[in-house]
Amino acid sequence: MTNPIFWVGVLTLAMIYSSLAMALNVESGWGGMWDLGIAGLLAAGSYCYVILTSDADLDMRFAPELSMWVAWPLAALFTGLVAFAIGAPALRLRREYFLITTLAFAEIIRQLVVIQADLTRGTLGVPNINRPFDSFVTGRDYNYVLLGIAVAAAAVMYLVTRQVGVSPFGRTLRAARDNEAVALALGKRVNRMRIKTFILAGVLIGATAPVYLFYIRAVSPQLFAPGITFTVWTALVIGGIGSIRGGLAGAVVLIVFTEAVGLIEVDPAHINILVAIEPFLVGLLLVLVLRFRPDGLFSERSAFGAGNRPSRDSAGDSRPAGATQGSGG
Amino acid sequence: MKRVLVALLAVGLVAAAACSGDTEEEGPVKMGFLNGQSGDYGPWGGWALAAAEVAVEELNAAGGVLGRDVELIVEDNGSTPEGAVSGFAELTEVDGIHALGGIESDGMVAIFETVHELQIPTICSTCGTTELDNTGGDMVFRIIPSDTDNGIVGAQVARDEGYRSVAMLVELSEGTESPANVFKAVFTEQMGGTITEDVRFNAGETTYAAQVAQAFESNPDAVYIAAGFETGVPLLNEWQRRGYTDIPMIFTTDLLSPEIAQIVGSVDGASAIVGATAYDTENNPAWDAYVPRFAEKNDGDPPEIAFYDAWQYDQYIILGLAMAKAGTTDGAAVAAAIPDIANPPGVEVFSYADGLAQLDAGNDIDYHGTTSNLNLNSVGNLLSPVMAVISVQDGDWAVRENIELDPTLVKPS
Repeated sequence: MTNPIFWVGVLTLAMIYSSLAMALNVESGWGGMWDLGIAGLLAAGSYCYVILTSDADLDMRFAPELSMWVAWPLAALFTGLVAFAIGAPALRLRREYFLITTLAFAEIIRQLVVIQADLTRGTLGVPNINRPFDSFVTGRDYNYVLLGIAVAAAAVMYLVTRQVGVSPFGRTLRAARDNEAVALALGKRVNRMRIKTFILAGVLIGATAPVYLFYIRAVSPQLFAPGITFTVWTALVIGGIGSIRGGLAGAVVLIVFTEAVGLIEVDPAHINILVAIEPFLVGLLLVLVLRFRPDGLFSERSAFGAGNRPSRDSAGDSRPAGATQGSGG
Repeated sequence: MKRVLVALLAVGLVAAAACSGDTEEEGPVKMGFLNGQSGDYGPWGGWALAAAEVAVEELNAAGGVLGRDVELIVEDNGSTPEGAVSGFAELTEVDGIHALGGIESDGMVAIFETVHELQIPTICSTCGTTELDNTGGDMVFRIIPSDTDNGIVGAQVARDEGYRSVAMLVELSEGTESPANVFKAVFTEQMGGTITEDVRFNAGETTYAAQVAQAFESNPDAVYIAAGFETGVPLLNEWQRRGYTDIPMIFTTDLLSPEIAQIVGSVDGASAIVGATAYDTENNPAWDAYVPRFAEKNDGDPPEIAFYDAWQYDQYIILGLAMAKAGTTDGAAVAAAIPDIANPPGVEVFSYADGLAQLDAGNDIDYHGTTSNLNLNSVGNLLSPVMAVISVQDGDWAVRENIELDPTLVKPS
């Protein structure tokens, strides 16, 4: 039996992506705001944490060297503020316009990180991220600590998002997603509700960002390319958009499957074939899940009870949407 | 929730049961190769792997390391830090590697601390990052010139060509900005040169018309271009289309590709020069022996300038000799032996077999690789990197002369 630490690392990464997928589910699954800016919000939270905690000798313009326990919540709050700054204009758009706008904002954040080099160290990045408890537990054993942190973060994320999902706020959010006209007719302030949801998702993603950095141990702008957003989305689709536990399960399945594919042993001369096949197999997994479980591993109906959400066939316009008011781009 | 936890537990157990690794001390010596076979570094991946395979074949042909076969364990990091972290975990925890090579700058920075914690001797054959300028030497060693060296030599070439004003076109990435920033500092602060425009741009733009115009129309003596070659091709197509062909260009190493040479060479009167890291190929038995073996692996094509392949080869020969010198695969002992192998005093050797024979005879050795004498300083960097002035001749890159870094030019603070 191989040292299990490899799988500890895999499960740690899976828990991190689970947290991100559950945060995405709040805004996209229940709020109907299909956000392609996850990488940007993650970058905002990550750099906030790094700037607040990094050593002054790294020559960053602002390095208060705060405790990580102070910087962690501040990173979450800052990401919420960034989400508000993005959401305020973006949520005036609808459907694909909202989607493209969030993708653009994510790239803007990444470029800001690059060009503000005296604050962020630009493309050079920041090494040696401060990690909790690493003075008590070192070496390979720290992987278990990190898994514990990631599981705890995912558990908190699950409880928070579940609470949001079953609350009157969550029910109203889903109702507005499925039929905004009715929600408006009932006097619900749909736009304000969506902005709150977008900010909440930002806070949750910002709270996850330090855990991601504990895993990577360095930060650079290249880390926040759009690929990370698509991985989170894939996890959510596999797990089930709109379900409470879908993000959690989808990320575990996706990350474990991806790493397991990487374990296939091939002759070095044929590594290029394996490299080409890996994304194909992940795509195949997605196709198979959607073929046999169109709503993902866990459906929204199973989460909230039959009849809570119209089936996909009868949902009509219950679709990807940013917000519904506004000019439509 | 209970079902989810049960499912997670099941996945973990199945995964743990599925893994199979060889932790036997008497099994093969495992050399890890963690490299971007896909993603941004993918275009170099094939050459890098071919060179690594040549090295491992040489180790095995000489009887292996410590009498054991050598196995090259390849892991694609997708050219991302996240891929480097998970790939390194797989190499160490599943495959049980004894040493590591092949990693690039951003991945190296991400796994740097873990490499030290797990005591995996690592040679960085493709990372120019300035992060390694002062932090290696214990477990991590770098056998290529740093981005700092590349920036300085670029400024040195500009000075020697008589350019007093330069416009800069720089792609926003770590590998291109690092040498460019050093170039700018050295050229302006230590040589009194002028930067007429400093234009930074992203890879993957639809067009580079505005950036090219901004730089070339600022009336410079020359234009310094730091970009990856995927970006360089459309950028130079724009340069050609707009007819700025009478202004000489200074390139960074990443633009030393055949495609770029063909574009420049196809324009009458165009001039492109590169102050770059180079291979020490003159009267070098290691190089002479390496070239045909690499060509055999590479569909008959010999190594090209600055494709980084020869460094990939050198790193595994060093690691093999260091293990032989240490008499063990223990990470700390092997890392401690690396400077002894690479530096004088010792009998100069140019292959693994010769080095092994000298070690068996009880002699110290000083390994000279395909790329240079590979002498290392106290922080694990090359003591005297080989640099060259390279220019386009007849549509291909050709070394005009090898040069030494001007010792009066120093790394900017």
